[in-house]
Amino acid sequence: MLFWAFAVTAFFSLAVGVLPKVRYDWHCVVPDLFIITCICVGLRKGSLNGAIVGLMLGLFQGSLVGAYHGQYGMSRLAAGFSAGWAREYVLHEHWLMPFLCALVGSAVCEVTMLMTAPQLLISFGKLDISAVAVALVETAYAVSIAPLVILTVERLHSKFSVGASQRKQLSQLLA
Amino acid sequence: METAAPKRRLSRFFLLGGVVGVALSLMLWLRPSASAYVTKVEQIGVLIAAPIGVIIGRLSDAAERVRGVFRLSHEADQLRRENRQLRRRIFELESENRQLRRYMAENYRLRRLLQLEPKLPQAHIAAEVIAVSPSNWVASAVLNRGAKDGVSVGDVVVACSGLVGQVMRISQSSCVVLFVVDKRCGVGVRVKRNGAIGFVRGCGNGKCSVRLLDSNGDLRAGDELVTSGLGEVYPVGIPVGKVVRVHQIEASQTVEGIVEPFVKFGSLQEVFIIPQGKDVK
Repeated sequence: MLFWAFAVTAFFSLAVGVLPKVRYDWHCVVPDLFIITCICVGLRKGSLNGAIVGLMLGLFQGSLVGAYHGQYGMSRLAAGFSAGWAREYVLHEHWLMPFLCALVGSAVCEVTMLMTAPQLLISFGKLDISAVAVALVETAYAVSIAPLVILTVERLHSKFSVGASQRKQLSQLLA
Repeated sequence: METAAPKRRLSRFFLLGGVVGVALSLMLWLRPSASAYVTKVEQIGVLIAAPIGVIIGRLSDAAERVRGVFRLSHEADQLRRENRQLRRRIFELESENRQLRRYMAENYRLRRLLQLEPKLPQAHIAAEVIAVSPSNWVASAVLNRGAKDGVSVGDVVVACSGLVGQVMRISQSSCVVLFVVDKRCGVGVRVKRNGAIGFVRGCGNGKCSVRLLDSNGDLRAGDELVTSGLGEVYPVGIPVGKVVRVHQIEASQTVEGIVEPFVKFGSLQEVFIIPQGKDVK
């Protein structure tokens, strides 16, 4: 419970508070924590849970952005689902597995964003180069950050869960 | 029987006299002498009395220490209480200080807004930024005013330092403003230095680009841009930004400038919404 409270607080503080400010102050593309979270949930909990969480986070992000609930919901759903789906079809023990799954999830998400956002496509069938650049940078962020998040979450979770089980055993013994 | 009583009285008298005599003799013998040396009797007395004095002194010291320990613990309790009270006081003063600093910053911003206020039309709505868009694709923010406050789609949003953007979507109690740096946002501007008319468009990376309508128009780095009001969307005279770089477009002879907006979108807090159709005096 404590772990999840801390994780949710940290996520919203970073995603809604810190990173948008960094983006406008430094004029740069910042990591999209919503995509990274969808990919992490897909990797840890499977494609279905990844899709559900992705849809919820996408709708929330869309409501903050103000215009494109469906676009954000759809793309984050695709990210969570595809990351979980890729995990089920890739060798689990291989060290590259989280990177590959993050790449698949993020790439599917960005392609969905580009395909469902007509305002980002220039006429005459040419893609907006800056939009493609943003998509590539977001993908790079997701591929590099999501495996680290997975690793950190697993370690923290094991530490907290072991502590909880020990406390439970101790309370049973005392009772 | 009558002869025994006077004898006993007589013996008592001699006994009392003997004791007084011995006492007087001792007193005369042990009187303070002019010599620096102590007498043997005095030495014996000193030998007997000294250890007793030392023991009593030690006991007195020990008692004093015990009393000191009790006093110290009592004082420590007092000091601890006092320390706790002082820490609490420091915490209160620090939080008060932080609050005052926040008020000071808010006061500064509001004063700047008030300086802008005389230029604004009578009908304007003060609003606060609730959230800034957490996406790299769209530059927007959510404000805490909506349809029930009189806000409508297309209203212009300004801050104390300049133009913020345009209301894109509204709900009953909130609205979404599209920043001027977004790629879908365009503003008609005028160069403050020479009055040349141009068009500013968001680049999507926190900056804008400007092109003048006249291909031979004079545009320099450092030029300040204000809204022209020709598009009948934005009121006239609102500061937009400053040209930081000018370059020639290869395909045509026109020049393009990169504009740094006056508004710091990362730290935007209070804004004014100008309803459509209202012009700056």
